[in-house]
Amino acid sequence: MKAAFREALRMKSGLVGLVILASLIIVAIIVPFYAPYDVVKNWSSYDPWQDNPRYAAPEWSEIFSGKHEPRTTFYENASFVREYVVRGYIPPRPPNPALNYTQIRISKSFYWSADDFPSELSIAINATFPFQSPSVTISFSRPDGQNLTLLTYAAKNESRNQTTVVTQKVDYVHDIERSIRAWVAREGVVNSSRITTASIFPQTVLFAQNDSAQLEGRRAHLLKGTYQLSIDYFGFSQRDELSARFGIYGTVFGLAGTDDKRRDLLTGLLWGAPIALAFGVAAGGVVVLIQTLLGALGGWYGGPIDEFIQRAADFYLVIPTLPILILVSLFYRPGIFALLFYLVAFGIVGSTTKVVRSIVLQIKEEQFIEAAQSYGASRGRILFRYIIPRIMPYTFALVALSVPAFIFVEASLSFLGLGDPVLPTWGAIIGEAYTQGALFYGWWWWIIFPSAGIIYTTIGFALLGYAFDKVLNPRLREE
Amino acid sequence: MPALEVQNLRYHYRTRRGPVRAVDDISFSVEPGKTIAIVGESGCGKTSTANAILRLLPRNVEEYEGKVLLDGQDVMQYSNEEFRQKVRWRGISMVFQGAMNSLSPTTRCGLQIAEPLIVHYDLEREEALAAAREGLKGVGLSEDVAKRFPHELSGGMKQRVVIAMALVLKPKVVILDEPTSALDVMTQANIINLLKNLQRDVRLAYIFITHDLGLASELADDVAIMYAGKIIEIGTAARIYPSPQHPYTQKLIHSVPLLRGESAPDFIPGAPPDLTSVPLGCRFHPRCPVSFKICGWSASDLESFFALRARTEADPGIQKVSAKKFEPKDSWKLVVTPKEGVAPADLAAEIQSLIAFEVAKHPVLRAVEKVHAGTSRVLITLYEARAPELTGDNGQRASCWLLTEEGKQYAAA
Amino acid sequence: MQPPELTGSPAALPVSGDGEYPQLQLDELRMWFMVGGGLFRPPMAVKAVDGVSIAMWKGETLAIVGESGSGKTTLGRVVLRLLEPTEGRLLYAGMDITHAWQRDLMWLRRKAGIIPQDPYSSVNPTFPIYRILEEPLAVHRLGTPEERAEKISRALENVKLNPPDLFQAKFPHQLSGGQRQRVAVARAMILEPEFIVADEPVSMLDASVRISILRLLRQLQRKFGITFLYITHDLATARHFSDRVGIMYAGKLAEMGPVDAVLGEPLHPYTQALIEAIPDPDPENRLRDRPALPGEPPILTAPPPGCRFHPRCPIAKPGLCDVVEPPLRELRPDHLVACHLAS
Repeated sequence: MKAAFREALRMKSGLVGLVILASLIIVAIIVPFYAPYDVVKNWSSYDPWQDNPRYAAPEWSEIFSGKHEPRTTFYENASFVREYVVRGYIPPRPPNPALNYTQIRISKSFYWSADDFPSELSIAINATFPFQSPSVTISFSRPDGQNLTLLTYAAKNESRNQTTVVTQKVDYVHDIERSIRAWVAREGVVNSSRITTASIFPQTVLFAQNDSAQLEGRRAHLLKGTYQLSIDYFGFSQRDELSARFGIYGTVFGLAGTDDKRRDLLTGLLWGAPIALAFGVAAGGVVVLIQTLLGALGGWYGGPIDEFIQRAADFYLVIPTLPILILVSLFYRPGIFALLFYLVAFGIVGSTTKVVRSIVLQIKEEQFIEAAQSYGASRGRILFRYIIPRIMPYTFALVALSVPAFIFVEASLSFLGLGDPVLPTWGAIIGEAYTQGALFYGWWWWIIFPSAGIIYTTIGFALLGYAFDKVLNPRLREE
Repeated sequence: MPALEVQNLRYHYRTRRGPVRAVDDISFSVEPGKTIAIVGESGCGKTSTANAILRLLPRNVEEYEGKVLLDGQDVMQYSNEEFRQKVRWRGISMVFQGAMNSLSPTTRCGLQIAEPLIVHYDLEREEALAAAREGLKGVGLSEDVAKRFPHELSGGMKQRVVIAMALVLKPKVVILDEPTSALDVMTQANIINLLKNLQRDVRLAYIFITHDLGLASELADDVAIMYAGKIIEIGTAARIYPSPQHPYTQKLIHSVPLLRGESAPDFIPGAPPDLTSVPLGCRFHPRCPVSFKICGWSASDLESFFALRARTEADPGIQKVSAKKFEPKDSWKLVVTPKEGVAPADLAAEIQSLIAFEVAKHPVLRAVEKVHAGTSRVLITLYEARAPELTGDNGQRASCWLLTEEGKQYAAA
Repeated sequence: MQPPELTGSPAALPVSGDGEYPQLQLDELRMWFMVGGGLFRPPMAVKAVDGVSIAMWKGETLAIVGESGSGKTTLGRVVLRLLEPTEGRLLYAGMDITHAWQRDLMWLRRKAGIIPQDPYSSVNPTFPIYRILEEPLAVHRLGTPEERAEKISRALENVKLNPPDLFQAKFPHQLSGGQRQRVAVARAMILEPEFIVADEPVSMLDASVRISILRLLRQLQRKFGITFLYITHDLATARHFSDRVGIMYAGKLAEMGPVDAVLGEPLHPYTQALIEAIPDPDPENRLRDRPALPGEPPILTAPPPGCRFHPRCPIAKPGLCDVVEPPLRELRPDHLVACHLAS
């Protein structure tokens, strides 16, 4: 067996196959360090990914566009400049009652040097106040000196508890759009009738130069320079507190980009490797082993056992596995282990059974088998200790060759959305990319990387199995 | 004029373990209507000789030279294409070993015989099949065998089909490589009779390759005994069989169990050498019962001899032994490193007396020419090994040192 | 145990009068294989062994010589009960083992062994020599690991594969054909058997190696007192390495007797033809035709009526030889022939 291994490695195909396989195993080992399992468990939830941009290409893809793409930045409260905090008390003067107040202004300036617009903006304001709603004004100033008030609103107290913290994100998208529209109408050069019909994307319009293209979405001309976001707060107690979080989402992220749910695709891709490997090898190994055993039993014992196994193999070969799996999956979406079980159940007998049977029939004729019978070895002993070890190297080759098929079945099912609902397998990623229209929208990274993963793994196993096969087949026949 | 004459044929091919010197400078000739038998154990190069003559060479050929004169013409000079058209199967053809099992199972016999005619002579299929049927009659089979498949025929019939295939282009020389090895005794006798008749009727020259001396005597006018790629004895059957000159031939003839006659057969100890590392000097000397020091020796044998003594502390003075080869004359020296505290001169003297004492029990020690103490090590010079030439007269020649003048002097001494 | 009633064939009657049972007795043994047979055709019987009676004595070598299709290989297998005879009886040391169940025959498996023909498949190519030799011991659960190691070493020494430690770890493909056959011999010997069937053990080896293996078998026989059934097609080796010889043709014995008697004075026309067909090394051979019988041995599904040899026999007498099967008669002391016309 060792000799066969060495011989296979001497061939180029075997060597390449082994290298590929080794690289996959290394990935599978280091993956838990890059993205531990709890990160993967979150694959099906939304919250952990909120700070990632959506549909972001890989960071290194900016080489192709030549532009310096913006990265995602979040400005936490600590980075805001507290311009002033004034807490005061206005004594009552008829007709006004006494007034406790807190007036806060915080601002954040940032320099925009990227060559492209941000993909999204996010402003989160956290105000703490006892009962009466404070007033919050958000304003934006640009490098070309223009200022506009984005929004003025009264913060709502959602829990109605006098002393607890109240957190709010800013919605009011339409109000912001209206403000921007009014500003463009006032200061910009765009035709006013067009303003009413065009849709406003704050992330582009706010950063676009005031020219005719300002409302053209990403085709507008970018205005680089120092911007500033300011928040003015007027609260009606002396104990009010204000904190804000300002996020500018970039257009690129990470090594593999993101998908529609803002998930870092690299996590999914890397985790796809051990899943594919483990699944393929487990399925391939178990199926080939069972088939080999049955083929050997049939070939060795002959008679009715052999007949039965061969007819069963014929039957199984005719059954269309994948369509049946699809049908089953429509009713009951299998987890990865259930899928493994189904594939093994469908693979108990198959073509390997027939191949192994014919090999065993050949070996049966060899004279050391007869000699073994003459010194009293039982049939079982001969089968399990002499014959089966003889075919083991060949079985190994068959396992290597069948692994890609199983990986592909799993990927197909996941692609159709019928696979494990939780795990990030390569097939699942491709499937989601397809249904979200990645090809149509040009989100190439979402499709290419998982496909490349499947192809790479398939090639690795196929080369290794092929090299093994070439080495073992003539040898088996010679001996 | 001989039908085929081979002069100084050399054919080596490369393997991972080194070059295999399968055919190493052999020469023989065969007259029309006569047979030369090439006899030897398996692995001696007989089949390689056949392949070399027919230029059936693999890709890893390292050396291929010599002269092959077919009817006086040196066909080694031909290009591959010329050789294929003019020589292979037309001038010289071959019955391969185990050929009856390599007949194509899916083609009828008639067509298999007719194929060379269609390919070489551009004959029409019908004409070729007619010629094939004639060929079948010539080997004693009925014409309707042409319509049958090989698996329908018995072993003897299949072999006749193979012979018909070899004769279909009417060659002058046929190489027969173990033509009866898988056949029964009776069938073998019938095939041999067929071959004898064909030879008489058509004046074929046979090169009959076999390991069976009894079988060879059925056809051979001349015999060439091959060993490790070289012909070590060649001559007429009438002289070699009753009085073989070479010790190997003697042992070979003596190893045939006789059906009639009294002597019990004896076997040759050891095994033929690996053709990647043939012994120096006379290639048979490691197994020869009468070898002398100039016949040759194996440096590694001597090395192991001393190394064993070092290991078993029989010679406590020896620390390490290694054999080194010196170009160009194939001469070897053994370098013996003495143990700590042992002077080289003392060790040299010890080795000298060891050799004198043990040489009777260990003939391998005859190869030592000189033991010389250096400053830190002992140098054992071994005799130069030369391969013996074929010596004798036209009826019988053998390459053995004991037949040469030099050898006879050594033997006397 | 009373000796069972035998059918009276002289070949099967115990020859020794001192109450010793022969090591092996075959009494009109037949081994027929049913082949073919479809929906409308009845299966045919290949009569590989068709009525053979032999008695073998302890410590002798009996050679069974025949061409392909004579049934000798099948005979070797039936004798070891690797096949169940169709008819007739098989007795080992007086015990009837004709129809015994395989699991009751484990004692036979210890006492009798086989040396197969093909050095390329006679030993398991994936096992090292040590394991190949250990297997019979393991099957019969003999010995502690130390004892087994000792036996294996000795077995290798007995077959002259020295030093044993070196050979134990090797694999068959690292050995030459002759060495592999020696391993097969060692394997047959390791259970210290009484009886060995050597099925053409040297026919696939080089001529010079054959003698060394056959010599070895002879030495082992003398040292350990083993009975050998030596199956071969080569009369010359049978002559030098056996005590008695039996010539088989088409499933039946044609002649049997001490080897020098049979070869010195062959009484059956087939034996005579066989001897004439084998060439000894003699350069005069090329000047004459080799006497050979025409035709082929008969197919075993439909042997000729009467004497099976009659279609090829040079002295066959119509009306007798094609009608009546000749019985085995003792024409000379211990020398039996199955021919109507032999004298």
